[in-house]
Amino acid sequence: MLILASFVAFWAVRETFDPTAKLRASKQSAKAVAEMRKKLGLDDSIFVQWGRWFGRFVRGDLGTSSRSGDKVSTMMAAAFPNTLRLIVWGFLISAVIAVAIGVYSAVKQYSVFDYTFTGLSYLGIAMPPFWFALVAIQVLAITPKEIFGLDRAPLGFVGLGDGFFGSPSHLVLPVLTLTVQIIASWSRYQRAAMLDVLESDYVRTARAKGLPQRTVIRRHAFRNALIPLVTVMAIDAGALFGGLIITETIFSIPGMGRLFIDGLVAGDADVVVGWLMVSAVFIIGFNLLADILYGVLDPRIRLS
Amino acid sequence: MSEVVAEPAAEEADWSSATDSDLLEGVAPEARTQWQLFRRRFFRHKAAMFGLFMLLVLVVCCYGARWIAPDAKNAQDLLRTPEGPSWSHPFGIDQLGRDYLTEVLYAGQISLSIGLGVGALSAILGSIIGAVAGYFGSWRDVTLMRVTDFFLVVPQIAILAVALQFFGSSPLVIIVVLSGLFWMAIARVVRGQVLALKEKEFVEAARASGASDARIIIRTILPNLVGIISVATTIAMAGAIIAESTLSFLGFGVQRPDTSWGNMLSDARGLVGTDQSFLIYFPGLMLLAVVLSVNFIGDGLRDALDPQGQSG
Repeated sequence: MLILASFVAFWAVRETFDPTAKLRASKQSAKAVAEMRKKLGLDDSIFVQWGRWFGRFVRGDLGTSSRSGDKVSTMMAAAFPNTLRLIVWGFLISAVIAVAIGVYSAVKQYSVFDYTFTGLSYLGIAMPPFWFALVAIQVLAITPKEIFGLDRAPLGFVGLGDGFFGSPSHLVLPVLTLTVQIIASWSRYQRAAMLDVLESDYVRTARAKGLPQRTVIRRHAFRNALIPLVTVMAIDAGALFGGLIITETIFSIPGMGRLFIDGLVAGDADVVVGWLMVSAVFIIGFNLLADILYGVLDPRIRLS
Repeated sequence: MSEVVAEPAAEEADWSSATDSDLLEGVAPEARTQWQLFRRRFFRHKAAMFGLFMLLVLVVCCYGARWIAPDAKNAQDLLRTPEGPSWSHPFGIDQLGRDYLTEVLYAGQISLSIGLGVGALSAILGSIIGAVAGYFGSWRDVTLMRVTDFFLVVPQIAILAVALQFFGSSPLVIIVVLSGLFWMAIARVVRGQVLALKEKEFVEAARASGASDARIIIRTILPNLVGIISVATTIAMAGAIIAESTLSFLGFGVQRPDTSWGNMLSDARGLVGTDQSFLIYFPGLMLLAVVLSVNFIGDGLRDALDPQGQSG
């Protein structure tokens, strides 16, 4: 308990000073400074503790696991490739599917397609992802195996398979679990954004000057409708990271999410603190990326 | 008050925002009729009514489990073998020979209590903190925004798991810990609205007639935000129910002997791929039904609040 108590405070203190704070300071330095002053008044011993920890953190030393005695950074390096595969695929697939569904539902508003995917997205948003995973394993992997009398399930549900990108049959279920909620909510945003754009003056102008429907949608509407989604994507990066915990637990994938849960259960402070830091760095990285993308998609923002 | 007279520029700004508000809402002068309109729109919203009905049925069934459930709570009958759904046991029988419907209903009491509890507590916390931050501004506002930013950079589930590991995990503690995270979204919404409303004439008028800050916040501003707060609360509630079940599933939430839909699923997890795999469906379906109906109600509230922005 003491370890946990110290690190909660510890972590709160550190959050102000870690490299992430510096990243943030570039955009909102006044606020970061205010935060710093507030936090500086905290207990000195924790501060000193933090100082030592931070010194090591900067040099890439996240401490040592109290369970195995391994370096936390080594453990993470081992776990990271698995997680990276999940994230890369999860992000790509959910972005592509969500945009496709959103744009198409908006263009064909009130069609059967639109209603179907609106209904599905309601289900997707309301569904706990871990339950979805259990049902998917049962229905998509085990039941077909039994019905068709196969030697092994058509979709793997333990680990990710070999090779950097994993084997496709092993990736389907974990990636689906990771992204089901995200696809559902992103497609809603994309649909709303696209509907908004389709009603705008410049789309009406494009139509009025006689451009074919395809050109109007591709060149005028689509690009503009992507902008709001980028912000939502950045905000959801945290959810994606949280989703890793669930996905990796259910599918026995030795990645970062598992590292965190195992560390937490065992009270392995350095692992937990290190994980929280690394995920914070990543989420802030995602946000930065979104800001940059935002500029690429919308030149007006770059200028101001 | 004298400031307004002294600075014509400020007065002008006030006028422009006044026309804006007339166009957008026209709320303030006739709060009662507005409320009636709002209620009528809400009760005509089919999805919302469906959600409300479904949620009521679930709440009545779960809390009335003592009278409705076919068996007593935790009644084991080890002579009964696990079996799939049938007429006498609609949800089947689990490994310990318990009627699964009974189990699901009693577990629902805890899952629903946590969802409703978090909704209520975070609505109260969020409204107070958001209103104070928005109304008084300066350091209170900065603190609120910094704290909420800070919690955006770490995955929610991770924070909650750490917190529950630290504070323990009785249902009451879970409600408090989850509210500790979910009030923030509500506070940000309330803050934004208060920032906009506090510049309006009717607030100015209240101040001119000598109302205290507390009275202005409680009697003048907050009644205008009831709709928006309830929408934000439904979102928090849905989030809380999913978060509780996920945490319980991972082993950080509700602990035995208490049961919730989350830890029932945690127990059933090993049954995937066995003859008893039917046990994985029902607790999840209940979760799905509850969250879905809460979301429908939220949509209904939002549409009733803003009839122009019908967004499916």
